[in-house]
Amino acid sequence: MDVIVTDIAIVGAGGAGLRAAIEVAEQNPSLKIALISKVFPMRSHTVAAEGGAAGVVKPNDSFDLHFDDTVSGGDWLCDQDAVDLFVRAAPEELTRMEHWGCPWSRDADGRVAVRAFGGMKTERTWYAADKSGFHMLHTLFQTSLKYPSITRYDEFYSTELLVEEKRCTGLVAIELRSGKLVAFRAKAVILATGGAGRVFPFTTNGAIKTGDGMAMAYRAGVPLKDMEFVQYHPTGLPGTGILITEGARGEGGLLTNRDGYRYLQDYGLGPPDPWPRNKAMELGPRDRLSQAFWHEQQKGRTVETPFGDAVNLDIRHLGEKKIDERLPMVRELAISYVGIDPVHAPIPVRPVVHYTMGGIDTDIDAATPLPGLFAAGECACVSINGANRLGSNSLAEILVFGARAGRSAIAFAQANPHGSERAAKARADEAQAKIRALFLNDGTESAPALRRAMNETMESGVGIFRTEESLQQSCAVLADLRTRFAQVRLEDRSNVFNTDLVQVLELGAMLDVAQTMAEAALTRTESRGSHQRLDYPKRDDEDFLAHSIASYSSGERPAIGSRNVVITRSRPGERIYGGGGS
Amino acid sequence: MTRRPYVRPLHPHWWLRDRRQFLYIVREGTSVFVGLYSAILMDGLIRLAQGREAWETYLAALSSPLGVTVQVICLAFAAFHAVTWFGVTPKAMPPLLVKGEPIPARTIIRGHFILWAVLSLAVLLVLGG
Amino acid sequence: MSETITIRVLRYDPDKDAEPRFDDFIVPYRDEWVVLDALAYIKEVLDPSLAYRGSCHMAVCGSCGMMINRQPKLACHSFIRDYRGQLVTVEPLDHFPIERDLIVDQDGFIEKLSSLYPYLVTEHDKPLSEGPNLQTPAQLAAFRPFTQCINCLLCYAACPQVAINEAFSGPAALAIAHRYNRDSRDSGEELRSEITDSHHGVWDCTFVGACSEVCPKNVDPAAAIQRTKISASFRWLKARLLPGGTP
Repeated sequence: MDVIVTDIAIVGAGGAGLRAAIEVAEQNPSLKIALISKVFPMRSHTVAAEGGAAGVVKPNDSFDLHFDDTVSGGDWLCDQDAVDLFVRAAPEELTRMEHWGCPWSRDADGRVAVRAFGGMKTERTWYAADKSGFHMLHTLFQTSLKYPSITRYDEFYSTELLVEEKRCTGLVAIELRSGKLVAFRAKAVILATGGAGRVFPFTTNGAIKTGDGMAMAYRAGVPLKDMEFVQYHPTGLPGTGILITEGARGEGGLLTNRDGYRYLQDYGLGPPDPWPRNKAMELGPRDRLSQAFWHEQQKGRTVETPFGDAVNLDIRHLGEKKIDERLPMVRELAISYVGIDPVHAPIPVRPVVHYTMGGIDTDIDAATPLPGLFAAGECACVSINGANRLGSNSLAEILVFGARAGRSAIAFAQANPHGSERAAKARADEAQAKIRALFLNDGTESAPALRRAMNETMESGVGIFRTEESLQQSCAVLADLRTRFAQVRLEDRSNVFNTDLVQVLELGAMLDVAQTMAEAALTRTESRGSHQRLDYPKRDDEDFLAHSIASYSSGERPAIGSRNVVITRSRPGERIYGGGGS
Repeated sequence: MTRRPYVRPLHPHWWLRDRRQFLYIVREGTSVFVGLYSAILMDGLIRLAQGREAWETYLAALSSPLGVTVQVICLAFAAFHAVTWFGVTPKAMPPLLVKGEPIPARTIIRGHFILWAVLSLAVLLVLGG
Repeated sequence: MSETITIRVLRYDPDKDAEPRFDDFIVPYRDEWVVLDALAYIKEVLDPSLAYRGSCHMAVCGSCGMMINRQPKLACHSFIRDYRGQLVTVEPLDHFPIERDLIVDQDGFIEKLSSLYPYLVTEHDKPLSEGPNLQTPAQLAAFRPFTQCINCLLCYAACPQVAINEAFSGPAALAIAHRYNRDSRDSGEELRSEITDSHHGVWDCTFVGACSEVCPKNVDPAAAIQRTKISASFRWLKARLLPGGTP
C-alpha cells in the first residue's frame, strides 16, 4: 500500500472541489493539496448544469430579495444565516469566475447578461448560453492548472475516511489504473463528491452520481441532513431523463398539456400571461411544477409518448435565431435524443430526479461535526436549499461554499498536526482487508439485481408523492437489500480498472444513502417543498420546522433525529406564486 | 499484476482503411505532380535562356503525345489539389465579419472558385488573343 | 425472438491478455439506445468485467469517446439504429495506450494542455471591487466556438499526425490555447507562443482537417491551428525584421 502525505485532501474535483483547491492554493501556496476524484475533473457532473448561477447584480435587485426568494422557495427549511451569507457572497464569486475567463453571455453593452429563473423575483441568473455548468467547470479546471501546489489524483475511487481520536486524518482510495490502495494522510479533508440522484432509476444525473462522499461521511459518524428532500426537475426528456434547462422557460418557454392548455394556471401559478412573469406559471418553483405534472397525469391530461406520459415544452415562438443564441444545447439535445427540432415542434418533457437538497451536515463554514472534515456542494447540506432548491442557486453554492471549505480547511490544517502514521496504516490495512474479502468471497447476490431493486423501490415509494404505506414498504425493501448486499458477488477479479468493483462499492454507498432518504421521509409526517405526503398534505411548522438528522448505526436502520432551523428574520409564511407573488 | 498499457501499432495500411485518411494522402500526393509541373516550367526557362533552338525543342517535347499526357495528368492533380485547398480555406483564414456576422464558409469557398474561373479566363483571353 | 444487434468489443486485460482480442456480444436492438446503453447492457447482463468510461449520457462530459466502426465517436451520441443490420465494432480511441478494454491512458493530453497556459493570463490582478470586465457579444463570439471543447479526444484519434508523432500538442489542446488567445480579456499569447509556435506546436499539423470533421461540438480545431500558424508566422517575421526583435 502507498501512503501519500499532504496537507489538505479534497475528494471530488467538480465545481466545489476545484473551487476549494484554488482557494487553498491562492490563500496559502505552501500547503500541499491532493485533489482526488474518481473521474477526470472535466467529467464531473457540474459539467451538465445548464441554466446558470444566481447572484444579485441588477440595480433593481437586492440581497434581501434573493434571500426572500431562496427562503420561501425552500419552504422555510433553509438556515437563514447561511442564506444571508450565501446571497452576499454569490455575486463576488461569479465576478471572480469572470476574472478567470468564464465566457458568461453578455448584453449588447458588454455587461454580463442575466436571465429569469424559476422562483426568482427578478433576473439574476448569470449564464453562459445553456452550458453554464460546463463553462464553469472547464474554467475552474483550467485555472486550477496554474497552481503548482495542487496535485491531482485523477481516477482514484475513495472508499473511506481515516478517523483517529474523533478527528478526520485522511482517507483511503483505490488507484483505478493499478488497483492499488492508497492512504492519503491529511491535516484536513474536504468532501465535494456531489449528489446521489442515481439511487433513483430516472434521473438527470450522470452515472457517477452515486453519493460516495455522503456515504463515507455517514459511515464515519457524520450525520446526513434533510435527506428526504429530493428535487424533481420538471423538464427532463422522457426515456433518457436528459435535462432540458429551466433557462428554456426563463427565456419564455411554455408548458402545455395534451389539449395545448397551459395547465399550471390550475395549480395556483396563474395568471397565464403571454409573456414570462417572474415567479408565476412556467417560472414557478420546481417542486410545484413537478407536482402539477403528477396531478395532470392523474387527470389523464398528459401526452402519451413511447417512454411514458409527458407534457409539452413549447419554445417555438422564440424563433430559430434566439433559440440558437440562448438555448443551443436544448435544440441539440432535443434533435439528438427525441428527434424533435424545438424550432418546429414542442419538446415532450416530464419530471425527473435532479438534485439532493440534503447531504452531509455542515455549518456555515462548511465544517462537519467531525473535526478536520469539511464538505461543500451537492454532497453537503448547509442548508441554503431547504425543502426545495431554486434553480441556479446550486452553481453559485458550489463556488461560495467551495471557497469557504477551502478557507476553513486552511485554518484547521494550520492549527493541527497530522494524525499518527501508525493509526493511518492500521486503518488503511482494515480497508484493504475489506476489499480483499470482496475478491475472495464467493457472494451470491448480483449487484445489478440489487441496484435495480433499490431503484424500483425508490421510484415507487419515495417519489414525488409519498405515503406512510409506500415509505414503510421502501424502508423494508432497503433494509433487506442492505442485508443482502453483505453477500454481494464481485464478478471481476482483475486489478486494472476494475469497474465492477467500483460499481459494487458505489452500490453500497447508494444503499446507505437511499435508506436515509426513505427513513427520513417516513419520519417527516408533513408536506414541505419537495417532500409531499398524500397522507399529510399540510406543512406542520409546529413539529417539523426542523432539519432531519440521519445518523449511522452499523447494520441497522439509521437513527432519525432533528435540529431546529436557524431563523433570523423571515418567519414561515405562505409560499405565494403566480399573480399574488409579483 | 499491475497496469501494462498496450500501444497498438499503426496499421500498415492505415490510410487505406478510412476514406478521410485516404483523401488526405491523395491530397498530399498531388504535390508531387504540382512539383513535377513546376520543374517542367523551370526547364522551359532554362531552354529559353539557351536560345531559339533549345526553346523550340522544348515546345516540341511539350506538344508530343507524352508531353501532353504528362501535362493532362498534372492538370488533373493540380485541379484536385486546388479544389481540396479551396474547401479548407475558410478554416485557414481569420473570420471575416460583415456587420458583425462572420461570412459563411460556403460563401468563401464559392468566392475562390469564382476567382479561379475569372483568372483562368483572363489568362486564356490574354494569351489566346 | 425479438431483434438483436451484435456488438464486437475490443478486450484487453493486462492481468490476463498479452495483447488485445475481440469479443462478440448479442444485445437486444432498441431504437432509442445509444452504443453506451448497449455497453451498459453488456456489463450488467453479459459480462460484468467489461471496462469502459461514461457518465453524463448527454454528450457533454466527454468520457465515452471510442472508435465505433473505425470512426471516433461519443458512445452516448451514437444511436444503434444508425447501425441496424450491421456488426458494430467498438474499440478504444486510436492513438492512445490501452489501459483496459475501452479505457485509454489520457495523461498525455492533460500534460500537453497544461503546458499551454490554458487559463486567462492578465498583466494585473483585477480587484473584485472593480466588477466584471466588459466584453461585447462580438468579442465573445470571436472565441466562443473554441470554448466548446469537452476534451473527449476524438480529434486525437482522428489525427494522423498524432499517430506518428507523440510529441505533437494536438488539436484540442491547441484549440483551447487559441480560445484564450482570442479572448479580449487575455494577454497571454506571447507566453503560449513558446509552445504553439514551436515545432511540436502548430507546425506538426499538416492540415488534414479530420479533427474538425469528427468534433462532436463543432469546435473546429483545424481552424484554430491554421489561424495560430498565421499569427506564429507574423511573430517570426516581426522578431527578425523589426528593430528590437530577437531573432
